[in-house]
Amino acid sequence: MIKIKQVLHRIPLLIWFILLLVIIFSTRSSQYLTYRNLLILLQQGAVLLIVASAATFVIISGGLDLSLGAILTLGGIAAALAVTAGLPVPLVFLIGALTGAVCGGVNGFFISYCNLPPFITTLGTQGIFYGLALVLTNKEGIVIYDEAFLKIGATLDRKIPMAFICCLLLYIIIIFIQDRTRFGRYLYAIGGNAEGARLSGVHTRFWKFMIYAFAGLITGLAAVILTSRLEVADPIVGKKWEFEAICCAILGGTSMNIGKGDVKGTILGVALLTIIRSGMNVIRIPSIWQPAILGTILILSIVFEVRASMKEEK
Amino acid sequence: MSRKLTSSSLLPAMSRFAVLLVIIILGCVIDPSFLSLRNIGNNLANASILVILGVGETIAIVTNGPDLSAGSVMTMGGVVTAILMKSYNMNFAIAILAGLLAGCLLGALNGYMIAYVKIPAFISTYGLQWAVLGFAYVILNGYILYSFDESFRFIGNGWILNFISMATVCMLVIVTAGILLMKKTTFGRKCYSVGSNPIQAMMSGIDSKKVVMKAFIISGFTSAAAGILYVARMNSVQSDIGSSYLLNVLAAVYMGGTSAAGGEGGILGTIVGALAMTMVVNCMNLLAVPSELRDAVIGVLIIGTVLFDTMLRKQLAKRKAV
Repeated sequence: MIKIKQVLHRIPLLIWFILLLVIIFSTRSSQYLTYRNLLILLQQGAVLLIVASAATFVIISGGLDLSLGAILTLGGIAAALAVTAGLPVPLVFLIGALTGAVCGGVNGFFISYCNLPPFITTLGTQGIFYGLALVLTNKEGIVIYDEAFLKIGATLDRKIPMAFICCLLLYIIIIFIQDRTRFGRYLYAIGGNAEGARLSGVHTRFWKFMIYAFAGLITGLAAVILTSRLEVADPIVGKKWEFEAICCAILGGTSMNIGKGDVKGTILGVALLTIIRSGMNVIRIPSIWQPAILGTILILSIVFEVRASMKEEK
Repeated sequence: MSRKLTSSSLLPAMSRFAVLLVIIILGCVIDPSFLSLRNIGNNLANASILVILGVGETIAIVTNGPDLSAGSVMTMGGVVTAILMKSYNMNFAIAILAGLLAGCLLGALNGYMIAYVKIPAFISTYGLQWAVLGFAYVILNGYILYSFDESFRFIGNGWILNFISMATVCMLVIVTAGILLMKKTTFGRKCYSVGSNPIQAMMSGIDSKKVVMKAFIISGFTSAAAGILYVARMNSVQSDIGSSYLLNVLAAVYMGGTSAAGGEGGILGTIVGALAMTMVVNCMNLLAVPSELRDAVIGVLIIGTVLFDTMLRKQLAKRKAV
């Protein structure tokens, strides 16, 4: 009995909340707890999981990246251009990843080597990346017809959620990098005490730069998958993504100021967000209200989460 | 102490004016009528919205951190005022008051999250931005409101003496109030003190939470005022009027020499920054720069000025140390 209690106690509050929501939504619609709906949820949440992991890394290191949504957009457009040019799928992934890494590298360069505040830098680059995206596409979406490429993000045979599988693989690699590599260890060292890390011989400037470049890189990969799933590269598709990603990271227990956090928690935040978003359709909230309600819920959840973690620290 | 401060901040201030001068010369080269009375008046009128936004943004940044919801609160102020006049046939003065009140409330919400819940400003205000935008969309129900009262439009569009617009007058009123507030009141001193060293401020008995709260309420107020002025000028409102202003106002404030670290800078600098920004936009119009590239140019400007500022400060600090 005691053991069960201990186990129950260790389950984060967020999981109970997610379960509660699932129960509410499933009573409202008989379609909710079907495999088909699960597939839709998985496909929708998959890309956000990767972008939120990128945000988590940056936040653990004590920074912030407001340009992730713009990188997602630009990476998708680069991939779409590559596909239309007839390049094979692996090369398209490479180009998406490179675009992301270069964008992230620009952020990292200014933040780490020039000591600029992260939010100003990434807000500025957000403008630059969106501008580039609009110029590259001539303000119109690039529709993709390439069959082989579309398979990456599609739901094959109405059964196999490919976007989810790709993102899950990537997510596992990200967890591995966080837990088992020097990069992951330095991430926490820089977030916890950058000066201490520097004095103990960590080349903090270089690794901080790498953190932003890595966040850009995985966002670029996510962009390729997103483009394949949506079958179009839209020049404003990334709007708001960075905020949702940051919210998921914070909901997953990543803290803004002490180098605390874990990408493994981020998946809970992503799950919550995806369930709420789809649930709003289930309980028939008019679409015009949905951004307002989602925004309010996200802000309230951050307020709640930050208060709870502050109590814990006390 | 004060003398030292001025000598160290003189060089950055000079560099701002140099930038402004370069832009003006550039404008004259592009188009000889750049310095005509009418174009100057137009530029001033166009700058008015940015300057008003900048006053609150400067106070917020000096005290604590950036108010990234400025653009959305601007939209909300305009939307509330517009809908009260259009759908509820209210007198424009009452509608304006309601719009300003909405701005103050949103500012208070920001202040509460930052000062009392202790969420960093750039996250809480960035989040509020999206929620507020959502509600503005709900209030407008997807429509565009247009053609308002003559007397309301006079605030934004009227001209006095053929080259001073009413918008400029509004701007001057708010700017004067802001400068007096920051330079001549204890509140202003407290803002600088909280911004430069929060712990020291607390030790000397300043209730920094209250100061931050007030600073963000002011920022909400000026953002809403800018939104109302925008509606009066453009004679129409939709749910994205403020979204392009966020980058512009941040660029103006940082270009004006307000330090991103807080505790340093001022409204006068922001005015110079806003004028420079407006003329940059004016030049881009004259050069027919495609509209999609404008945010990119402004992004470059933001990073460039902050980079320049950081490097200049480093040099000054080195020189002082020697």
